[in-house]
Amino acid sequence: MGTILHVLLGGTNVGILALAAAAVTVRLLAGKRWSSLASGADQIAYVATAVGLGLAILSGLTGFFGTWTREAITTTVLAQNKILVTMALLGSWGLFLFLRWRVGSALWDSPILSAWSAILVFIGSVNTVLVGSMGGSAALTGTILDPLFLALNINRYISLAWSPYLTGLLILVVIALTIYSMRLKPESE
Amino acid sequence: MLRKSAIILLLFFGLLATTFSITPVRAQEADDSLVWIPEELTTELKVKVAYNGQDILWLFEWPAERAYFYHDIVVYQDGGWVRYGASPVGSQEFGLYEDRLTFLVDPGTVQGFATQGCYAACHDQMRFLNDELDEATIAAHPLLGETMGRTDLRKYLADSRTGAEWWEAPWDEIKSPEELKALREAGVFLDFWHWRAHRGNPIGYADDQYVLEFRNNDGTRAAYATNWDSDAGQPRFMFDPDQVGFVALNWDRLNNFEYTQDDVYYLSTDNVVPFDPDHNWQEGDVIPRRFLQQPEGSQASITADGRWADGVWRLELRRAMDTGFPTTDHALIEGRTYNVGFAIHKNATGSRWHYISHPQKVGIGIPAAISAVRFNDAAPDWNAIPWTTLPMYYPGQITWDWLTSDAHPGAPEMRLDSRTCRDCHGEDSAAVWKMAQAAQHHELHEGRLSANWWLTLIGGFVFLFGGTIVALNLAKYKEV
Repeated sequence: MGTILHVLLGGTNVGILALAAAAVTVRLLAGKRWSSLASGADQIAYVATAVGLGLAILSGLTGFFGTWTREAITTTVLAQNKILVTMALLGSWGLFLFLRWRVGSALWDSPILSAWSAILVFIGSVNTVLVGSMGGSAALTGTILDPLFLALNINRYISLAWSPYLTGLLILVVIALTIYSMRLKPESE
Repeated sequence: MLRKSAIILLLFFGLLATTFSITPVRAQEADDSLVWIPEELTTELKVKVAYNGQDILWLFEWPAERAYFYHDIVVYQDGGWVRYGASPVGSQEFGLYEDRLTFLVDPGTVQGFATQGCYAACHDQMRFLNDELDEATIAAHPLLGETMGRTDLRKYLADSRTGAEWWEAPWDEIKSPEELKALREAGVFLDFWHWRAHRGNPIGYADDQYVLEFRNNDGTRAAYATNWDSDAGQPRFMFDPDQVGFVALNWDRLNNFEYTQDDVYYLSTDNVVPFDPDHNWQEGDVIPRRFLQQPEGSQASITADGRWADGVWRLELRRAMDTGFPTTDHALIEGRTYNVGFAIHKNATGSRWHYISHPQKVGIGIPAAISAVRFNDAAPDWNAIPWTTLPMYYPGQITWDWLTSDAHPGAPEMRLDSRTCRDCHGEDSAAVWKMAQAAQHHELHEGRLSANWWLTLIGGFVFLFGGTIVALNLAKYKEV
């Protein structure tokens, strides 16, 4: 039962998040020329992200508690990788939703915020696809991405973790940028 | 708002960390001194089988960059004999461990073998696994230690144990000798064909063993014995100079692999004399610590001819289809199918550092994954029989007990004996490469989340969260 629910929720959230990604793309392309299209795409992106994210959280919970045994989920590499990618999915879509909620539709008027939103949605979409594909591997049905992973020499049965040097460097750069940006004062102040 | 988000994120991380930290993981304090992983995780084995109603012949070929047929020696150093080539962890550093080809045969009597193959004989706490038992524990066991004189744990079957479920196989809960005898008489054992490049091949034999409560010899006299007098602290035999022109091999020549298969590099009954401690021994003199002899009884059933050339081992094994030893050998009968699991050792490795195949169906004169072809002449025309190529992979420290435990997602099917390894994981070379990669990871981490996993998770969130803060701040700066 848990597995069926997980598969249903997983499939649905992938579809809805795909809709959100498409809506974001349309919003970015529409710009100010097609204002009604841009406005509609913005609304769809907002709602679809909220619903898709909620379903993704439910899917994650049913996957964690309702499919394999706890020991298998926490000790097999495929499941560990799936959890890692799920975290990235939730984080990126969640932050996009947070930005849209906090800034409103004015989000798209700022080149920096709209660019960063596009990056978040792209990362979220890639991870959504990866999570779904790993689910196929876990269910032993295979996925249409298998030939691609094989061609790229990516093995989801070993740890997909980044190099610690890369991660360390990334953390340092982001922290430095964050501190720098927080110290910036608006010109008018 | 950002502060609230940060608090929510921290709570989320805390919950995740708590979930993992309270989850029991296996062998947290594993001894990693036994962790060794070959650079080459997969290889292949080619097989042909033929029979004439009397004998069955197997022909094998497998790639091996170098042949290792030196094995276990003593070297004269600083006035004494020093041993090199005991069973090593991984590759023996001087190449002093022989190559091997082995296979287990099941006529369908061993539960779990048709689906899981060689894993049916591989269990937790066996020698050279991270959780291996110490010698004293084995020696104190009433059957393994006190009766059989063993000090390590080797292959055995769940059928030989008294677990509550058929797949449960606690190492020390062994059935009574009467029950084991009854099992053997009923054919519940694995027939173990065991070819060794040094201990048997030079005199034309492969070892013949069987697996039930342990990996046992079929008879009382194998094709080799130990050439070492423990009381005197010296070899029992040396080369006969009248026969071979020298009393010992040379360490430098051995190290440079100068002795070929056509040279005398092994001791056997035909080329030895009793060891002479008063001989003028020179630094670097080498005497093999194993001594080859004519095997007897059931243990002399398999003849062997293995040659290495141009990066390939080619081996032919021959045995009577029915050896007449039904409690140690399975008769191979025309028209029947057998489950067979193959393994090869190469690159001077021993014990568990081998490559294994999925279990295969071998049909004697009938269609199967590997079909034995009937021949009527003295020898088969091997050129007329096609090869079957098997992908082989390094299995790491995966055991029967792990496969049937809750840690293995496929355990429910394993316990039902309803699915094979290949059903879930596939069988082509790419599939077994994935399995070997997973086994490698399992051996290195034993299911634990690596520090790198956590670092990646944290790094990813720092990137996403930090990037969002930067974007918000920059947007505010630009837009005001």
